[in-house]
Amino acid sequence: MPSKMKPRLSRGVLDMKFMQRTKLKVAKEDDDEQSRALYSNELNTKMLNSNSNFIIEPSYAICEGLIDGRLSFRGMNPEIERLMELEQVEKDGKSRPEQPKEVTDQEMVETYYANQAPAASKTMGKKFSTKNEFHKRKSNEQQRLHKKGQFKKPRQDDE
Amino acid sequence: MGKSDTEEVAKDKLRLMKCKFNPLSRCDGSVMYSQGATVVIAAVMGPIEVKTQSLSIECSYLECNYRPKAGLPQVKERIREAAIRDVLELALLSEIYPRSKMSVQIQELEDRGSIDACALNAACLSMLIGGLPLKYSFAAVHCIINEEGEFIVDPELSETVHQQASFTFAFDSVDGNLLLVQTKGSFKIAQFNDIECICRAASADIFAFYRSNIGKYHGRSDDVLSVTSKEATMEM
Amino acid sequence: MSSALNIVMPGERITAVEDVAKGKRIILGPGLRRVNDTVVASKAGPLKHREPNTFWVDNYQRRYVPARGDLIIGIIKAKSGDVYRVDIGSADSASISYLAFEAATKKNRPDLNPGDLLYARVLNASPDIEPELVCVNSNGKRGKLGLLQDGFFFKCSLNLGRLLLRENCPALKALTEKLPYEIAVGVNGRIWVKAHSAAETVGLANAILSLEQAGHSEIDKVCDNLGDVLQA
Repeated sequence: MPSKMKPRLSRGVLDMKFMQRTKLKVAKEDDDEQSRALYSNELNTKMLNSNSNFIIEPSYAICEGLIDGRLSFRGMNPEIERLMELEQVEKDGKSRPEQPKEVTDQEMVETYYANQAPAASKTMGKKFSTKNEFHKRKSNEQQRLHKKGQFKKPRQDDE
Repeated sequence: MGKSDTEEVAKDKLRLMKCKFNPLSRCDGSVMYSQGATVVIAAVMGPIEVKTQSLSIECSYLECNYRPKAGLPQVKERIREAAIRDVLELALLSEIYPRSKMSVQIQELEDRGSIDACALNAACLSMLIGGLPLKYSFAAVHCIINEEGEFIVDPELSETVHQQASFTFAFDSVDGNLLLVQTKGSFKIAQFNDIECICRAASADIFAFYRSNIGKYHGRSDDVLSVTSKEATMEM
Repeated sequence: MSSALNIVMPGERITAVEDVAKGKRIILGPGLRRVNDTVVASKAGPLKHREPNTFWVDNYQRRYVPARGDLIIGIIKAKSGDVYRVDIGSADSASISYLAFEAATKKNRPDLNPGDLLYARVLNASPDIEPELVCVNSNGKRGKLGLLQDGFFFKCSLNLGRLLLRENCPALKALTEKLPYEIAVGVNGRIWVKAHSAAETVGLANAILSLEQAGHSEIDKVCDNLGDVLQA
């Protein structure tokens, strides 16, 4: 029997407090094996290995794609009408073609990096940097501090 | 010679079949069916709640009741009922709705010959219209050998008075297997085989009739409605 | 005509469906069953197809057979223990737990009495166990489900219920033009309507029942006359 060959944990070990999750797992495996043994002579290979192209769906509602049957019209039940509207919006949202963009992707990326991204990428980047890089950046920052004063000048030139 | 030929044609043809779907409102499917002057109403209910004593966990319980035109069912009707039940049980896919009951009620309105076959066909139509799950549909044909030794398919009551033998066959729609054989009287085995062939041929007409009427009912064009209502008044 | 509708009879092998199934997965609806690798009809009626891969047999069946996910109208029959017994028109009565309502707790039970109407979803349906209903969605919200108060309730054929619930059904639109109303249509062949006055409600019910005799093809024609039925 292959099950006997497999190393098994003793009950004493399984009863220990930190082994509870393993205990459940072992119990489930045992159950599965038992049920497999129980039906093994009734299941043939075809039943085990068949993958059928048929899905049985006993509901007419799903087959015909029927709508929900709770409806209200012209303000009879505002609560239901609100839900109907939400559903309609959701449905339209799925089928509606993409709206023309007011801001192009390129513009978006530029603005994003100009405003927040440098800060965000720096803080996250810090987490993954090695000690060497860390020191390098420190010196860079010191350099930047010096540059900061010079930074304003070209901008004024532009304008 | 010509005259006898035409008679032959009439004798191996079924009488005119008519049907009206759902004349009853409170059951799940019903049909008023007539072959010639023989008229039967059949109704089905199902799947419905079953009594615990007849409950089965593997298949649905089939109940079949046959009511004569007047009075309570006697031995003759009970035999007919049992025969119908046997055929229905063969055709019904009973394992689809376990723990439930399928009920088929057949009410004889007028018996002018071939009532056995007529009741079976009505039961089949009512099951088709009631949407019960079936393995196949079936058709029953009655045939007699009269005193001159002629075969008459679907005879009138008057034609059966001096019959030598009578036969009722039921066939399934898929393989054409025999579902029911009822014989009475004396006949030769060759005659039996001939009559089986004749009845099998006639059953094709009945299956065609089922199909066209189900089609009409689903199409429901105006002229179909008016025709069926006219038929109903005639039958009444 | 019958060839155009493509009527199938019980026991018929449906090779058209089998051919499609060779290429992709298909959904077999009511009236079709699989026998080994063949598809066989078990009911009589026109074979229907919906894109992309759903097939079923339409049928004038009048008995409701519960199926998972259906939205139905049930009538509370009794309270028993932790559940209400609900009549949904099927072979077995259904059950709905006290806790299957919005904001219901063990302390705070919904106040329902025998005879009340529920618009509910079938949670579980198997031939071997009784059907189970719920009145909340997976988020625990009521949505459109729940108790139907006032109004008028009547039964109809399963087909009429399904006819009304097809997308873009002209009947409900035609009625909307006549009067404001709300409606609950259960696929178990039960309808509940409510309008501003009793007379309007009854007129509405009559108008809907007059569709019972119409087939799918004639529905437009009948809808034009619905206004007359309402006034009568």
